[in-house]
Amino acid sequence: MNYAGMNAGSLTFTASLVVVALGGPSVLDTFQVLQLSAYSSLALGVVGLAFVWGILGILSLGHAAFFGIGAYAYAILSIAQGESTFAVAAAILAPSVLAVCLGYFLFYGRVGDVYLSVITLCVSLILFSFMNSTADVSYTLLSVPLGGFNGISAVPPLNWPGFVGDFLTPEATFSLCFLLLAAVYLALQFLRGTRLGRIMASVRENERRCELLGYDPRWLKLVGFVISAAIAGLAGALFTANTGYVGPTVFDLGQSSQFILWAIAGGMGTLSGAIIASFMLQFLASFIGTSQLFNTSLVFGTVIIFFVYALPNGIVPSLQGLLRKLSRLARRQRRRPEVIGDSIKSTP
Amino acid sequence: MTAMIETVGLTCRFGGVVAVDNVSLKIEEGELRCLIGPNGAGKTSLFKCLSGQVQPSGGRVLMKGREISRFHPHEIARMGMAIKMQVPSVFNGLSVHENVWLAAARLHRGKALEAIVDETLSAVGFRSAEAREKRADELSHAHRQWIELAMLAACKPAIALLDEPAAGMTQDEMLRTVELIKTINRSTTILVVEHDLEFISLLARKVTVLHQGKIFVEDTMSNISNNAAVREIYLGKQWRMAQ
Ligand SMILES: Nc1ncnc2c1ncn2[C@@H]1O[C@H](COP(=O)(O)OP(=O)(O)OP(=O)(O)O)[C@@H](O)[C@H]1O
Ligand SMILES: [Mg+2]
Repeated sequence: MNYAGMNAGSLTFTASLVVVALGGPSVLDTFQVLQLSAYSSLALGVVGLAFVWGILGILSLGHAAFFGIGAYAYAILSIAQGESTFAVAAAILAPSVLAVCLGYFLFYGRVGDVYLSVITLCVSLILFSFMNSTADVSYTLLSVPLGGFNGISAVPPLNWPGFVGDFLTPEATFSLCFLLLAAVYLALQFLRGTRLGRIMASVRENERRCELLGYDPRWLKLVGFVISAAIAGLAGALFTANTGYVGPTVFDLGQSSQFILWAIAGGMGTLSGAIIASFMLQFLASFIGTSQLFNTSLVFGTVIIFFVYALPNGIVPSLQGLLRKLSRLARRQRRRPEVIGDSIKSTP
Repeated sequence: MTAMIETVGLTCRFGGVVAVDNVSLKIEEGELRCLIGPNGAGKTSLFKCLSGQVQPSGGRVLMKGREISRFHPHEIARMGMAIKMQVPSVFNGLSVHENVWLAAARLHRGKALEAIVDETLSAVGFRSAEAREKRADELSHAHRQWIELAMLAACKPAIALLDEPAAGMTQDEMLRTVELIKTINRSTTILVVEHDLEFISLLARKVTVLHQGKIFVEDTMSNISNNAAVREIYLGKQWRMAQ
């Protein structure tokens, strides 16, 4: 059982994302295009978390902090400059810098797993209450008012790099978002199969053993943490570019726990699972939201309990397990007469 | 000649317990030293100090003449120390192959890497692809110990610390482990802790007895087993039963 690296499954998944990216705009209406673009940017956010949690075993409960900083960085810079290229770059860079500082303190200070989760969550909540209290017009960054709980609206969409005012159409943005999702997914999947990625997985399995083999887990965790923050920042930028709005709720508990829920539902250690789960659960949320039948939080509470109890491995690994069982069953049926005489060996 | 490992007045305290008490030990290059002592004598604690997992409360550890007492475990490992822990410490969720691959990957690349993995796995009896694809947590205790030994061998260490490498093994498995250790010793200095006296006499080397954190005596196995004081503290009951 090995999800790591480039295999048929990951290539197929990448290919399907590319097909959606290129074919989507011609079959979907504008509303669906806009909706799916926004979904895809949140899906991008969760891949980073699925990577750092599923591969390195770091449970960052404040993943939304990086997402939110990316979102705000994009909003402020794209308004201030009227151009989105630098804004996107800054949205990747700013959370990465925070991740380096925070990660250095967390990993090199040997902060325990639980404290790490709590501290990352606190960072996110501090940003939440800070942004909430910037309603006064005196709070500006690059002369863009932060807007407090009202957030920043009328954020311009992406434009072609270097061409001020030459905005991407919603269809082009849609394709770009899905292509970026595919690219990031493929890059992470590739990383998992490399030497570095395999060593990173060993940190999750047994940090002490990893260390005794001569690898420095602190450094490996820092690298992974920064990668996930950079991806979250990009995701935040795309989300804001798609919705034209950013508010303090990007930092709130709901946002962080949503990422966690998607990663759990998708299955620990799979990146494609987190992406699939994020789309499924976002559709579910919007369906419940529009139909007004149930309280959304109640449904998601139930969903998380369902996954923890009924499908602890998550969607994708459970399906893979089922397929494997079926194929083994089919093979056994075909070979039954020979199997009976099979001897049991005691040597490994 | 500088010793491979030398401790000078090494002390390790856990609260009020003095697990290692002013131990001065010298292991020469190429040696295969056995360390014995009753439960709680401080053998494992000594190993943890040597490998950097626990900071000594006092004294010094020198490796090839260089002070390593304040080094991180990964730095000590990079200097050429490898350890097999008392409680098997392997990557439970990963395959047997991946475990050994990870051990060898720090020093080797490409074809050489695969060759080392293949060689070390074959040495501990994991020859078939099927056996190598098993997850480490599916294996028996004895086999996990062998995987840990294979990981250790794959690092090509200058010095190996083995904490009870034959614990819980059958006679056959124990004999095989003795052979493995002798093979590793051809290129590696070894310090081995074991309770099984038959195992120690098969290795037949210089033995250090640790008692209540202190070095009690250092001698050959045959002298040790005739030493009345050692019998008293450690061999006593077991020894009389073996007679
Ligand atoms: N982390 C710890 N905290 C507190 N006390 C400890 C710790 N580790 C070991 N000790 C104590 O130090 C003493 C030495 O323990 P150690 O494990 O080194 O003995 P040992 O010789 O390896 O014994 P055994 O043969 O049972 O493995 C014991 O009294 C033990 O209780
Ligand atoms: Mg011990």
